[in-house]
Amino acid sequence: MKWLIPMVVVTAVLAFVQLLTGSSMSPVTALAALFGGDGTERQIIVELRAPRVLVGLGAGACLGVAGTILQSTLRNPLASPEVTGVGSGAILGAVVATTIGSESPIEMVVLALLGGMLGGGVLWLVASLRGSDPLGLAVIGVLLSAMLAGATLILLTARPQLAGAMTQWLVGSLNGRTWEHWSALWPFLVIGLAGAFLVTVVLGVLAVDDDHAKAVGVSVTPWRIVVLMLAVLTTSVAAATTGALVFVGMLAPHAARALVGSDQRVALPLSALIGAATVAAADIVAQNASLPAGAVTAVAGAVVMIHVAKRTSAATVGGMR
Amino acid sequence: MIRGFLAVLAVLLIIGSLMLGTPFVGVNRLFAGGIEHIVVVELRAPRLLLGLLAGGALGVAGLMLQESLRNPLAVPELLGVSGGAAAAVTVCVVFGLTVPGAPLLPAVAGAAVGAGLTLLAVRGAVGPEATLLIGAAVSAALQAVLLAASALADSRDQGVLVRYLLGSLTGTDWADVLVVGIALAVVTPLAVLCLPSLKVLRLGDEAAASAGLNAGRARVVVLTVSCLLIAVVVGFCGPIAWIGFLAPQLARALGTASAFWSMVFGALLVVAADLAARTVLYPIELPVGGLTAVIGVAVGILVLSRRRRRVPA
Amino acid sequence: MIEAEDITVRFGSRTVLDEVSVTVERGEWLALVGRNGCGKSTLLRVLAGLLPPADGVVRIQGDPLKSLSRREIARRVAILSQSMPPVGAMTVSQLVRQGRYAVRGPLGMLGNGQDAAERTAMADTAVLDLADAQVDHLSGGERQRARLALALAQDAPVLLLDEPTTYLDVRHQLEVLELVRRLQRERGLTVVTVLHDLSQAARYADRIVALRDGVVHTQGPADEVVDAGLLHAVFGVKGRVWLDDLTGKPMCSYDAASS
Repeated sequence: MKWLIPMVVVTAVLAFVQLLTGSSMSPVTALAALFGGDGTERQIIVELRAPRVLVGLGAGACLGVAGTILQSTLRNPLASPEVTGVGSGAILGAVVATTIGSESPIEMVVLALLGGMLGGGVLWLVASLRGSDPLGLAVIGVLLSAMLAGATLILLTARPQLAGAMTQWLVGSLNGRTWEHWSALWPFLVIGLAGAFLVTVVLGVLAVDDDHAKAVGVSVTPWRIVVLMLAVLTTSVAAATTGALVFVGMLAPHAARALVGSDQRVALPLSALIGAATVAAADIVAQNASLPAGAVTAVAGAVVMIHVAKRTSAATVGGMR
Repeated sequence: MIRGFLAVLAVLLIIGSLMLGTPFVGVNRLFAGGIEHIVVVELRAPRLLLGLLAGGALGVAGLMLQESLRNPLAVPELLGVSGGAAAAVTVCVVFGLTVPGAPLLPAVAGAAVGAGLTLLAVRGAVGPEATLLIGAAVSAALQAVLLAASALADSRDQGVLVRYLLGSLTGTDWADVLVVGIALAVVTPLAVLCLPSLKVLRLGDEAAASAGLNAGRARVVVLTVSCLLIAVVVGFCGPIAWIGFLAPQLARALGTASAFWSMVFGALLVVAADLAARTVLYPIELPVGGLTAVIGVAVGILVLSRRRRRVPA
Repeated sequence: MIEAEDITVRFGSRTVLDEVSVTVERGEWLALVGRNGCGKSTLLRVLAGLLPPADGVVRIQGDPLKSLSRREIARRVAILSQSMPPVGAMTVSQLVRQGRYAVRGPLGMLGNGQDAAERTAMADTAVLDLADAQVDHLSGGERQRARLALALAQDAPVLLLDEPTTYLDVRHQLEVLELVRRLQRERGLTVVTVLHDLSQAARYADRIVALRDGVVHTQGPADEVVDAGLLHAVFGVKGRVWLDDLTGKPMCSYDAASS
């Protein structure tokens, strides 16, 4: 509990700063505009800034949830939407949606969902064929992601009029997010967050060992499908509404676990909050440097991933001796 | 048998590359005059040649990386080498920086930085998988830099972006071929000089030591030369994703892990993929690197799943 | 309580258990003994429903395991398996709480608060002091006791233990076995253990089942079946067996590998 409340405050502050960024408004004016009034300030805050902030927070929370689920269920500290093929599959789906000319974010979410299931399904297949040591599976996941990203790029170039959105899809960005994106995002966010929270106990059990899970009474395969579907759902909706915010889903669960340990009932909401805060912070930096937000998270996340890969490799090899 | 088949395939691919496209140029007219001649000589021939050169260089470089690191997945795309070179060149192009020797020198510098970052990050990690994951993380960060640069510059030139993300041969002219040819002519002898030590390195560090070879130093030399090869290619065509993985794999599948065959397969693969990229969705031209990425990675996943199953649990 | 009929298990082409039938009465303590690889751990896993047999049926309280859900099985059978991988940052009390899943369900577990069974299990295994320690930081013995607490927290009438005394020093071995005996007597638990130490098996178990190459070689009360012939036939050692003055149970000492 002790970290949840401070993290809510941190996230709220970051979100407020993000709201102010680029609007050249004093905090007071912005607050006033947020809660009423009219005129250009209200217009800017409510129509332009607020959806951007909300979509970013929502997508970050989704990725935090997805990362927590993937890492505990696959028992792999390196698992995240990026290294499981789920994220790139979802992006591919969303790009397919734009390629066939769908405009509504909802259709994009649905196709992203299908793409995410494709990516996750292939990884599942490979894992069941060859067994799953964490590092080996992560390498396959990276390859799978590279393949799906290649397919995405082919699609983007096949329709040159879409190529302008290339950066958006490949690293993720919050530019031009509208209330429509938010309304496509929030129902899935609620389902994902609530669903994942309700099954946190199962996540904790699955994180130990299949035999252990069966012994205490968890039917492993059905539950694993359920929780992985929640991960695919949250990843896909984030991908469809913001593009690939690279490495947020890897970073947030690690930070959460480092702070509160492995009690998923606390770690999961905390990871969602940290995901949201990370995206808000990245977007603040990104807007000040006119970068895409995903580029910022990619660089920050790469550092964390390197650290974790080293620790995991040391632990695995050490364990085998 | 295989050699004969390959020779026929090569001839078919070369003639096909010269013939197909708009306008279609029949075999009998390839060397006739007129506008068709110009298309063949000025557009298709340099593109074909650059494809052959680039593929060959990537094939050899990939083999060198994999043998010296003894890891079948040690590919330029997962070691930060391609990523660094591509990011450096993109930055120069989209910001319109005038750098002497562009794009060659920025590519070499970028490859060096990318490889250096990976080496730095890898220190203390154990095992091939961790190395690859760390390299992949570095590559992802470098790709983010590339994309960020193009976003910063508000570049409308998506062709540049596609080229340096995945690789493309679009718009090649004889000047490119000339520069790449000269650069490769300089680097290739170095690569040939590396081959003997490569054979020893493949057997392991202890074998290398007993053969009187300083494994560490030899590895650095081999890696440097392969980075040079990769940088030359990336500077002009982008990474042409996963050729450095596919070509040595094919060579190995046919029982010859030699640099020569890896070069041949690399060259043929790039030409074949480029031909496909130009024709499958005609008139839309796909990025050749997209095709090679999809095919290359599919092969990679198969290789990995097979490799593991052989080891008894 | 437990009836296993004609259990056959194959790993690939190797037959690990070949039509093994075992019955355990309510409140009885049965010890499975045999050499490494004779199939005793496999049999235990089959009884716990962790491994579906290729052939044969296991009934717990009259119901075939196949007809029961995982949770229903876990409410009837708790197992302490041979090993458990590292569990990350999990604390002992978190681990023990997972034993309550079968009873409380995924939603019931969301609430905070330790229930009585959890507390009793931790008190019985003397891990209350370790409640907030991380499982991965414990010594081998402490870890084994924490895992036993997990199994006890399931509060199931059947307790299966796969080498519960590994990692434990003599004193803790004794404590664990005495604890299991007390629970068996007080709560009428049905206990099946895989034990390596034949003297221990003979001392604590009501009945011994000796497995050899995937079939039941001998079974019966310890004082009837444990003798030099058993040592030779089942374990491949020459040894002596005598009755302990204090307990009246057979004791063994092993002198040489038999040819």
